[in-house]
Amino acid sequence: MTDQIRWTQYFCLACATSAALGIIIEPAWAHSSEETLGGFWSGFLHPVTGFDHLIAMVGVGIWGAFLGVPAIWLLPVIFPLVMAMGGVIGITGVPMPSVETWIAASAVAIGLGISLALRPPLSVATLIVAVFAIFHGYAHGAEMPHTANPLAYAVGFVLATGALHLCGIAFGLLERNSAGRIAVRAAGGVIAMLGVGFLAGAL
Amino acid sequence: MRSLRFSCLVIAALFPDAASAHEAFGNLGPFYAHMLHPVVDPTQGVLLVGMGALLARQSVETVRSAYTVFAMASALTVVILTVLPLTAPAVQVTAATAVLLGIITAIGLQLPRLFVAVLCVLVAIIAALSSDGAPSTNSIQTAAGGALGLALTVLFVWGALDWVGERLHPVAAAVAGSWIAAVGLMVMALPA
Repeated sequence: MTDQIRWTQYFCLACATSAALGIIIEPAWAHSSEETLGGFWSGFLHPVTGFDHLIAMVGVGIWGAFLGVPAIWLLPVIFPLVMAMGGVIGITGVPMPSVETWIAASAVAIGLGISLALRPPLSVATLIVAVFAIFHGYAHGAEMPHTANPLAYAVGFVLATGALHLCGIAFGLLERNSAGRIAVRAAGGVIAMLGVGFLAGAL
Repeated sequence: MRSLRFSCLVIAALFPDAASAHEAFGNLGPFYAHMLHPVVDPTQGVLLVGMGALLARQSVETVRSAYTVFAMASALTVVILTVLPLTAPAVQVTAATAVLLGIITAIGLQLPRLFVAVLCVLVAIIAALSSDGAPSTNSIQTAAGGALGLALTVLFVWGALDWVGERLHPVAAAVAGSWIAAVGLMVMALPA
């Protein structure tokens, strides 16, 4: 199997998974009680409708693809686990300073990393992403005890986060050709600028 | 063939209503309602996906014996449930089990066969006890549907992750494991 076919398969899988998670899940959960459905959708929509979360999550996926193996696989594995730790802090109600600022800063940092084609050592990239993951998890976790079905909420927001990473990875794989590289770096610039907008309170 | 599969996926994504022809499980009868229960109950679903993901990271020889043990243990528990009204375990117990399954899967630990078999029994019992499906007077259909649902869900998840791992990248099961562990970790932190 050539690399091109393999990467095309990755891309199709990422697109299909994202589409499936976003569209097909609805009828599957429609069979369940309102409580479960509400909890799941509440969790699923939290990272998707929070635009600051969305751009940062997609950014993590793009940066992972940009950094190549093993970061492309390591970041989607580590991020949910560290995010869950942030979620635990949020659930227990431990106060954390300036959560929204850190979330906006994550978009700026990751966006700059992509647009400037920064390739830090894997340990540094992992550490940067892990620190930001804590704050993203905190924001999700703080809302969890108030939902109708916390387990369904957790499943929803972890799936949504994973789907956003997959979208980012799929887009980030475009950097394997020259035109795609420009598009990916431009997207990084847009993510960084949006992050600045959130930091400044303009968005 | 590949384009046909992709077309089917696109059609299913564009017309999701086709999958919701049956509005409620109650209309399906006790057999199908209990068979499909893991799909709509996140408590059971998380455990079974975790079990399937863990098996996808083990050798085929280990999976052969472990899956048989899982299917038998879940069937036995479901049958006992039709006779004895056992209570479902606390959600924290389910979450802790999910964390264990998820972390073992994420780091790709190769476990001894006996240990995997013991885990299978544990997960089968907790998953079967977590079933809170509608009570039914037809206990044979309830038990058969419930046991089949548990066994099929684990088989499907194991098969899907094994397929993706073999065709694309073995990290697929690790990603699933980290998601399961993340869900379990947060649910464990919830106040009882």
